[in-house]
Amino acid sequence: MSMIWKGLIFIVMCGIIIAAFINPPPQQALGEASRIFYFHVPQAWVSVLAFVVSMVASIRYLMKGKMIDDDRAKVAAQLGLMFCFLATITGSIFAKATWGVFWNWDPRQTSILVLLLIYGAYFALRSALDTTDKRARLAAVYSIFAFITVPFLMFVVPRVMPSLHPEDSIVTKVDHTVGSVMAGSPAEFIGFEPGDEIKMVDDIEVAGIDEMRLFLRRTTDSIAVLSWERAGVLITGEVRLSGSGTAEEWVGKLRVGKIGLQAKEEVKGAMSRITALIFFPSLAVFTALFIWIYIVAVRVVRIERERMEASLL
Amino acid sequence: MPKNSISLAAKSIAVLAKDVRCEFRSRYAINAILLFGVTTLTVVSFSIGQKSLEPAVNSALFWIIIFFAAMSGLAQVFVREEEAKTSTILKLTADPNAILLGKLVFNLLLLFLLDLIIAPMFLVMTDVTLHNIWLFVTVLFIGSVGLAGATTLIAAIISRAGVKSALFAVLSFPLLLPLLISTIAATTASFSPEANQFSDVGPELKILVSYAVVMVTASILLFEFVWEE
Repeated sequence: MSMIWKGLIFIVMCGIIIAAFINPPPQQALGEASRIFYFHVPQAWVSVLAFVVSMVASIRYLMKGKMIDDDRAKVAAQLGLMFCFLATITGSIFAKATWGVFWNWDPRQTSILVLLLIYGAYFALRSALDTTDKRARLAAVYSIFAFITVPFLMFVVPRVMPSLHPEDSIVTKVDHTVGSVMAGSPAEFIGFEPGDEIKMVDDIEVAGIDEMRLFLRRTTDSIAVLSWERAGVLITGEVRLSGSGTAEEWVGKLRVGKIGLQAKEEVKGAMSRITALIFFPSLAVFTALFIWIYIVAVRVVRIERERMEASLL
Repeated sequence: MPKNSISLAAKSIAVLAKDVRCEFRSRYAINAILLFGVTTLTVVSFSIGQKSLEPAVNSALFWIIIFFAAMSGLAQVFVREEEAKTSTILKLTADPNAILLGKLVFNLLLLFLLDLIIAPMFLVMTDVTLHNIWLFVTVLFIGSVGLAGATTLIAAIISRAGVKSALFAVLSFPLLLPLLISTIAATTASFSPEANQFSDVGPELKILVSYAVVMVTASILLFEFVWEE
């Protein structure tokens, strides 16, 4: 039975890798690099799933005191840490391709790093404890206590640094179109020529975003950059939009990532069918991979533990 | 007198009184935490020199000093019991909730003492102008409650681990990150000439209060599992 599962996961995984590379990238705007979406998002999802499994097992351990729950918590935390690590790596590769740097303390990057730190500390604590039941109990308490703080983090961090992460845009009804590559001078800051058809409007810190969206819908635009400053990979500029046919103007602040305006525009329907056809099987197969390793590893850990207990007796 | 007739508050105060008495016999935790704070502050102040820094940098430095000073002494309250081998006696004689609350309040007093000494020294020794003193004091107060609330349970965990304080900062830091981010943001506001009213940092203050409440509650619920043999 195990053989069949293993074979199936192998075949589907190969199929997904091939399909991810022979089909057009899921987000034309973000280019070829966006193919990483098929692997990065499932990894992040599996790591969250694994941490939840670990939490549930920890709570069960504290309630019932059965060692098997500690084995489950430990294995799930190990797998979660591994997938979390993979998601961090793939995420920063994608960040390099789109934001220009591997690491810029984006909220998503911060929260994933804190998860790595929490579970790193969890295993440091486990290794510091020698007797099995004390280790199980204290590790369970720590993982529950630490996990409680994660929702705070989700709320706190975006207040410090606005996210450039492509939200769930690929899955929901939003699309990104990149304006242009950002270079050093104000003239190139926006990179649009007067009269260009601009379909942008971003979620990133645009003061008065709705006015700007309305304005862009109504008029043919020209953009003038009044002032701009740069902090890391973020460029904040004050821009004036004016319609060529009207006397109307819109002046506001625009904050963009290094690569340019990641514009968001609603597209009809959800993600394209071909993207969905690769993405959802990929999600399923990563989940199946997790469940399979989890079951096998829990069995191995249990046998090892029982042998050790037997030898102590 | 039957055991239940004594209220939890009275039992907690008894634990607190015992800890304060023990502390004044050796003064280890007080010395560690205050001297660590003062030393770090001196290093910071000395390396800044005459330069005047942005409010954000000043407030980050201030909370780094508080964080590491707290890390140097707050574990002592539980580690002491293990070192003196009195934890079993304590376990037999006192209610776990009273022990946690007593020790939490002890840590809180220790932190207030630290705040009371470090904050004025920091204001004097660095080029900071305090634009909203009440905001500063409020943030310091709520921040200390959250800090003590989150680290007391960790102190209990590491005292059981036998490795003492080496793990304390490692285990505490990921938990304290939301607290530190919020306190730094709110303290920055109190150092800034503009946008320094309570309403300007409303979300931060709400986070700090809810963080403190959640962490203290979670500590009380989980402490029993750490403490039982």
